[in-house]
Amino acid sequence: MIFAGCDVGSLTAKALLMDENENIIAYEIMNVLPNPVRSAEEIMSRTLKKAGISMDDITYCISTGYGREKIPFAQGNISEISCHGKGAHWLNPKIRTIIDIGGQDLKAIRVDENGELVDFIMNDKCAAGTGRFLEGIAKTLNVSLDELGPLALKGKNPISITSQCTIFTQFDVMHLIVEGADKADIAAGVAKAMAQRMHKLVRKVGIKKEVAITGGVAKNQGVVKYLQEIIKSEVYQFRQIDPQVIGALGAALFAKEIYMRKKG
Amino acid sequence: MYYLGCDIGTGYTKGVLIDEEGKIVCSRIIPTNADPRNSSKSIIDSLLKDAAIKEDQIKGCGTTGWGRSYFPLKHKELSIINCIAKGASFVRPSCRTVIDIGAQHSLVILIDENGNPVEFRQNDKCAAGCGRFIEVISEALQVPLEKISDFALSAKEKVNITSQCAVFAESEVITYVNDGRPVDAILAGVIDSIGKSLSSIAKRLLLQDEILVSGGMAKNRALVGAVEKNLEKKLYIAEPDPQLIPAIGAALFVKEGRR
Repeated sequence: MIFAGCDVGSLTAKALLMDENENIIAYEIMNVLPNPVRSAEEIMSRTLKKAGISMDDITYCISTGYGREKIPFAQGNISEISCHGKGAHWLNPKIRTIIDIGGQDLKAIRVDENGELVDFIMNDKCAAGTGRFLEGIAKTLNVSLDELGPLALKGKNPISITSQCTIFTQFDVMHLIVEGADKADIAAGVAKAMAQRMHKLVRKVGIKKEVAITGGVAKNQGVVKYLQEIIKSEVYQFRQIDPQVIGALGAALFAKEIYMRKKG
Repeated sequence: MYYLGCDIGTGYTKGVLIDEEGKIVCSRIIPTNADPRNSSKSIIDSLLKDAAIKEDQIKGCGTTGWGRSYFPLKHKELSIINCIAKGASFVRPSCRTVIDIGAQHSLVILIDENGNPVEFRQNDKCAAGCGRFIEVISEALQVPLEKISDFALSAKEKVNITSQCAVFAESEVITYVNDGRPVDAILAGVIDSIGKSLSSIAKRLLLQDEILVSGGMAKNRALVGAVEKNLEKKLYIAEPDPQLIPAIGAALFVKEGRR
């Protein structure tokens, strides 16, 4: 049996396949296409191809993410908050707090010892603290998103970033460059500002150990470093899997659970 | 002798030269390009050239705005609120409210009959309701900034922009383009959204007639119209150039201080 999770976000689409023993068979990540349905079809077909199977082989599929209600091949959909909780807890049952940073949102999720959702808080009104913030800054610094993390780690004296608004911060960064500030120190300052923003949100649901970080921004080691400093706790990173696919993983786990329950 | 007022904003650097009678001799507006040292230096050079005077004929310089401390000559740094109020009451003595829309701030100021600020509300934390918002959209749609107003005014319909955040609104706009919605309808929606953000700041004060609009965004007729509609008030666009109001105020302050 094959269970599938499909996560169509604002910036990227992710799909993951697993068997009935919860072995991960394949997963893929891509940038979204203009239309969420096409994104879902494309990411699923890429993942199926990687696994060497076809759509008919899927026993049950759950979709999640902002485009989750429009996915034609999914039998059901579940919110990305529950899926991230589920996926993170499956990877490490000690996890109680998950900070998930998506392209256009920032979430803090609390789960219990069974991986069930206890509480969550979300910002999806303002780009500050989301993937789009880092994307904007990387563009202004003229580095790729992948280079931003290592650059931030090199910065010894993080420059204080006072603006919260992404657009205003981009201007501040432009001005810092003109004034001859070190790019690494700017990147470090940006990572620190991002971590502070995340801390502000997560403390509203309570920081209960262990804490994990998921989503695309989890790949930025500069942000992770400052987050650990600020919350004074180790932040667990899922090195066994790409942190961007944890929502899709949770969706696949839900797919299996729902199917087994229906079957009795 | 002359007095120089320079408003070094995050978007543009504006300079005016006034004479002993308070008459505007010449003025200049150039992009700041995040380099306030350079932009203010260019402003000084251009003003001296335009007026055909030497630096020692300038009796005093007043600076205001985000980059006011970067001005290279000896100067007096002045608050943007005082300068807007001063400049506004100078160009239109009957005004009692000024709405100033800059690149990275929007300000609503109540002023008394002597041009002193009485009360104000501002947004300088978020690009919603500021000029930068339109700039972001103008880049995304590849419509030049100066054409935005005409596009928006010619629209037969308008889309609904739900995001307040400029970054998210940009994504929304791109989605509309991909859905095949006309650019003018999208721009009309964007202007409407900024007009609402601005009006919500203005509504926190009991607005007094007459209301003057200043700042670079006051040149966008569609935006001024959207604010008028939201506030149900007549707005007067500051003359001779709404973007110069704070610089005029700054020049007047140094002139008075020296007398």
